Amino acid sequence: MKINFNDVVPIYIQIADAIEDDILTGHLGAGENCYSQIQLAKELNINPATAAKGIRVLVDRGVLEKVRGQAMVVREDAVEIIRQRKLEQMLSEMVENLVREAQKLEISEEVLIGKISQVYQKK
Amino acid sequence: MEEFAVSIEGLKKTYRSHVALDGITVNLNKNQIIGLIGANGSGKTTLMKICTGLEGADSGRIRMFGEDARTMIIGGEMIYTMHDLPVGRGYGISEIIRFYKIAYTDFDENFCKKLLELFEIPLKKSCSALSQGMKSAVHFSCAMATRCRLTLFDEPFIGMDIAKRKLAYEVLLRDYMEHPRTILLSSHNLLEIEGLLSEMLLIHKGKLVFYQDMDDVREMLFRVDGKEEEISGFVEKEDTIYMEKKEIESFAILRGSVESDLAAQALKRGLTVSAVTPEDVSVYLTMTKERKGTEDLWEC
Repeated sequence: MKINFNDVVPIYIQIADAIEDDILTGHLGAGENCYSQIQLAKELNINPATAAKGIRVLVDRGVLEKVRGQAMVVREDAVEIIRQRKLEQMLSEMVENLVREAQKLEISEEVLIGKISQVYQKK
Repeated sequence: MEEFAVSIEGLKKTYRSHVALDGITVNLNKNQIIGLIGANGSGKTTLMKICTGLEGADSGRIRMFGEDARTMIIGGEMIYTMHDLPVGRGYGISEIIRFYKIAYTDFDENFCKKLLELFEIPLKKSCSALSQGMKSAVHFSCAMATRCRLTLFDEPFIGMDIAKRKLAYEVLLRDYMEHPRTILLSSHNLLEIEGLLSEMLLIHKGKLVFYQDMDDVREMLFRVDGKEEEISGFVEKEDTIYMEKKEIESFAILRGSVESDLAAQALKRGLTVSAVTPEDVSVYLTMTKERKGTEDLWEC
């Protein structure tokens, strides 16, 4: 886990993303306890409030849930939720980049959509 | 229970004709590590000294944990250190430790000695024989070991080499987690310490610029780079903090985050959008509009 303070991505989002990676690679399994706020703060040398925010992001994304009082646990369907969110995010980013480049080249919407259909038809 | 660690109301301080503090009003939250940031002469040290009672204010008031500031000082519940603290001149380090033991009831002598060992400072030495970095390490170690519920550090890392600074950052953060308390910390090296901080207090020319959560500071401003005429469409907006026009590529600093609608518009126009670090936020928000460039230094 590595935090980049110069990154455009906020630190708490970087923490959330790093934990998601550990879930995807199986380092953190479904039903297991997630790293605690204090563990993250110690390991990454960041303020515990920032670490807590990272964990909260994962609760909001539906990856973690609070059970048995205090512990944050990886949800059973966490991998599926992460994949789904990443796919959506990636897809919209790719499309946005594509449209931006097309606009630079003054390619109209119809032409661009036509191109995409062409590629589909070739397959 | 009192809500705030420090409540400052309309604080003013003038030295002869120089206005050091120009009516600061702010409430500092409890159990946070707060960065006190500002350029040279912005009033950081004056603010801390008034908190500790070393200086009196001309007007305004300070309360700590709901109490009069003097109660905190007498009770040994507050510690203030600065890099050229006169305490220690001509004294040995062990004598300084003895002084802290008398003055601060919760002083953890064992922890202090372990810290000094970590910073490789021999206890037998006299303070006057120490380099600036070592002096800083002595004051830092002693102050940490008091575990005061209000800890004020004025440039505590000055003179330390990078390895020692990193050690100090780790010690500060770990000990804060073991013994949560309110720590106000001034430094000119915001880039290095920003991860430690939960909040930031920016002052400029004796006035409060902002007191904000660190993550909000990271999303306070963004930067767009591009050709001057492309940026010009944006710079008329009142969100513009700063604009630098250059021959090849210009840039502007705008209010908002990289995720804002304005940033999305900039992207659409083919401009490059990037985040502004807290360090740069402190620079751009305290810059005088008519700031002179360096270019005319080389003109005849």
